[in-house]
Amino acid sequence: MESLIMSSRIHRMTRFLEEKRTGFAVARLIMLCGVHVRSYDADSVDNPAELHRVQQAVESLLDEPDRRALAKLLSAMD
Amino acid sequence: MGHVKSAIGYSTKANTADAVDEALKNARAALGAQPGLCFLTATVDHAAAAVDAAVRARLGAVPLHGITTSLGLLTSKGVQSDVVGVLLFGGDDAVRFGVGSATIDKDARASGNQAARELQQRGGGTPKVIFVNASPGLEEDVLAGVAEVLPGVPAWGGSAADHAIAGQWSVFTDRGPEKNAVSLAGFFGDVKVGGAFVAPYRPSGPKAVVTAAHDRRIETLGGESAAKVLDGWLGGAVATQVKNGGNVLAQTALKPIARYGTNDHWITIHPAHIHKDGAVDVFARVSVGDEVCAMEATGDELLAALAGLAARAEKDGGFKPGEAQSAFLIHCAGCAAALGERVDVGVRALGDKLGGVPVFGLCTFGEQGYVRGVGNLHQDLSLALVLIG
Repeated sequence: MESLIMSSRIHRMTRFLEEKRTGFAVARLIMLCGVHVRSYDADSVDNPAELHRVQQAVESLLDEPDRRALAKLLSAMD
Repeated sequence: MGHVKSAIGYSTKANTADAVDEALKNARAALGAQPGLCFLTATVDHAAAAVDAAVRARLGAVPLHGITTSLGLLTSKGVQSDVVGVLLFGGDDAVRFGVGSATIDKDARASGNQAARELQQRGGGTPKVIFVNASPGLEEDVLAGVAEVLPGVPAWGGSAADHAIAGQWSVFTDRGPEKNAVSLAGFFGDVKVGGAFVAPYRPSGPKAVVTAAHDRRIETLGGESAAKVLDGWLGGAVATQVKNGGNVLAQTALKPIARYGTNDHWITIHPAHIHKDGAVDVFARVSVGDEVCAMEATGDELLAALAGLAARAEKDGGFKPGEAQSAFLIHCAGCAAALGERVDVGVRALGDKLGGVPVFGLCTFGEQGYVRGVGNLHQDLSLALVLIG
């Protein structure tokens, strides 16, 4: 239910990564994509260019099962 | 037995004041004495001004020195993210501590000189060892300025960092946090110190002479476009950036370039950005006439170098395993990014090698260290460990 009321995909991906891989992975995500993901809260409007960079970077930090789980989570937001 | 006592504390609490409280509480309990100096760090998840204010409110007149760290604080219990960390020092009458700092405007050499003079004055003489923290960009000049005042004194440290090379870093000086500054901390008197500074890469073959360069921008190598030469050395891995311009930090973290220092010490240089005109920005100074070599390392080799710092630093300082009070680690953020999650394993292994000596490690955007026969150097993609006792 919570994922349905979050509009920011960047925020949702960041939370997912943190839950799966800890805050260290979020720091690495910021380093990889150069986006200040922690400035996005649940209701933020995603910048399209930043969303693309975050999406690419977060996938490189997850294994295949987690990538599938994230994809499912994000499709529930559509 | 050494005359310096030290203790580490850190906290991953989200609220800055609570994190400072917990970090200082743990460190003070372990120190068991009035601190005479505080090394301070935090990730940029905490506002530097808030960290500084909270620490000052609790430590009073204890001198502060430090920088923001990228990724996290490296400890013998692994990587601590979203963190505030302190390394407190105390000692008996045989040791003294001092700090000095200066804002860096255009003349970083003058800033290094000014900070060193303040350190000398506040510490009452020439320190046995200096710890240096500065904002990234002009570290060579800072070191040169320090050497004008304190020639021959070993200097160890790292450049301030954030998570994304976005200019969000801070230097924690005793005057307060600053974006562009140098902070020095010195240990005076009967201090036992052992250090090791390594660039864990080996030459991979190709080399070229810098034929056009300005400060940290290489324009041509062997008369050819620096970007094209670099791309050739990398097997085409940065062809897109050669065409369009772009960041190449990730592609070069395990395949940087270097110039030779001496005593088998390579001065590693991290290529950062390729420009459409063929120039390559790097994180350390190069000069026309320098010969640079392509270098390489594997993740396993980085981890082995990290673990190997323990024995090197112990030997340098004459420490038995487990004898030092604390271990101050400088770990290039680029190396940490290349290692990914393995850096957690690596720093725990280093802690094991040190026989339980607490590790206080920063992920930095440039590293400074002392190499016997060469002196104090600034370079990239390097690891340094200083044992203090």
